[in-house]
Amino acid sequence: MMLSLLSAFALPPRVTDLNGSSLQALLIPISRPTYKIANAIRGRFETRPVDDTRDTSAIERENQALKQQIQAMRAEIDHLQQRAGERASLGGFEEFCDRFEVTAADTGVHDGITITGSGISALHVDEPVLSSGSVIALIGRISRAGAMAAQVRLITDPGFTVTGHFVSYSAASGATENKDLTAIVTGLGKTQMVIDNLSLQDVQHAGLQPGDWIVLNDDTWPRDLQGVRIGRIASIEALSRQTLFADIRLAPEQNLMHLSDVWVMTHQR
Amino acid sequence: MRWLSFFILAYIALGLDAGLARAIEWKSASPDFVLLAAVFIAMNAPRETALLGCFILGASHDLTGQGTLGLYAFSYGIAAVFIVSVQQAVNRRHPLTQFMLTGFSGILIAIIISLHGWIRPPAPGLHPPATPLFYSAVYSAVLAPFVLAGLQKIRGVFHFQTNRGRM
Repeated sequence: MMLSLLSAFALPPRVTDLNGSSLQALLIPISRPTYKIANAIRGRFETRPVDDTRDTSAIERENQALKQQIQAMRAEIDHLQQRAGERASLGGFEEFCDRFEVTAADTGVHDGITITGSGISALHVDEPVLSSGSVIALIGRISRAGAMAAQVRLITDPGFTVTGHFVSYSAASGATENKDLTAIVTGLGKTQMVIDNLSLQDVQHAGLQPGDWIVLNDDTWPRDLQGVRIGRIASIEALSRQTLFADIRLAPEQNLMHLSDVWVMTHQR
Repeated sequence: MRWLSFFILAYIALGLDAGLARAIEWKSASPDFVLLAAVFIAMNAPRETALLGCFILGASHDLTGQGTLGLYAFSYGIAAVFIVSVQQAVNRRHPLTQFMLTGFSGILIAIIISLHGWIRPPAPGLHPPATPLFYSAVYSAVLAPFVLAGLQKIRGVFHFQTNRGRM
């Protein structure tokens, strides 16, 4: 008891922070089927983390505008790639990523998941992890890689920090990137993130509002990932301890603790 | 106590905690299956065995999560000290007893983990919200009568010896 007390409260964190261990892999026979079944049932009833309160016509208009914008951008990219003779190197994230199955979620104060699958032993610590599905979003980094399973530290884990900028949408100008404001996104735990480094005046001046996206803009992450979504603004309020600063709460596109599979970026361009 | 049965219980509890707990969470509060196993052991086993069993459960929880080594081991140990001290004075088969013991233990654990979060924040100035931990304690307490009633039915498998029986 005394040793555990010392370990938890007195020894330096670099000695005692486990960042997951390969022992988690031993639980897969129990955790995997229960995780799959429970999440399959939950998926039928779960609502989105951020409710879009706009009316259907506004969302349809946004979708149409985004589709047109994507077409235009795709054509522009094709043109540039053809001209540079690098078309072969153009591809989605799938080219650089391997897919892995989620078998368990951390239940302590940390936000983390355990993944497994063929090729798991080839993963390395700090490799980026992305969500799968219709919306590809950054969800974390590999915090520990073992022979049978790997642990992912999610971006919502307390203390996880990443920088990004905002993408706003308006009917007049479509999706607009706002690179003037560099936001420091910090995980709060329990699938929440916060930005508290921006002044309220700057936030109001930039016209940010709930529903706007935040995308990755961080030199410590691979170049191919820059611009990948991190989450959406859930609320903007004045920071309670420093009222001149904004308290921007973010929510990921989906609940990161209930994912069925993920992409791990195992190689880069 | 038959340790093989204990380790099977620990394995199932840890597996359910990793696979099921977050999937059935409510308002960011998830049940703690390992706590339920710890309460069961602490209610039935002799003092030293109960303390050791709960400590092992906590240490296993530490080793399979992403947290700090020793935090859950210490928390579950403290919870076991509390339960063992009232073990002889309660009706361990009564649902209200199971609810109260799990609830108090969960709150003790939540206080220790919250204190740890305040003393050693994951980043400077960042204190993880403590309320989900307390909701988790309540959630686990609500599940306790159902889970512990099932475990009480198979308590013979564990071969618990009372303190009096050992003397």
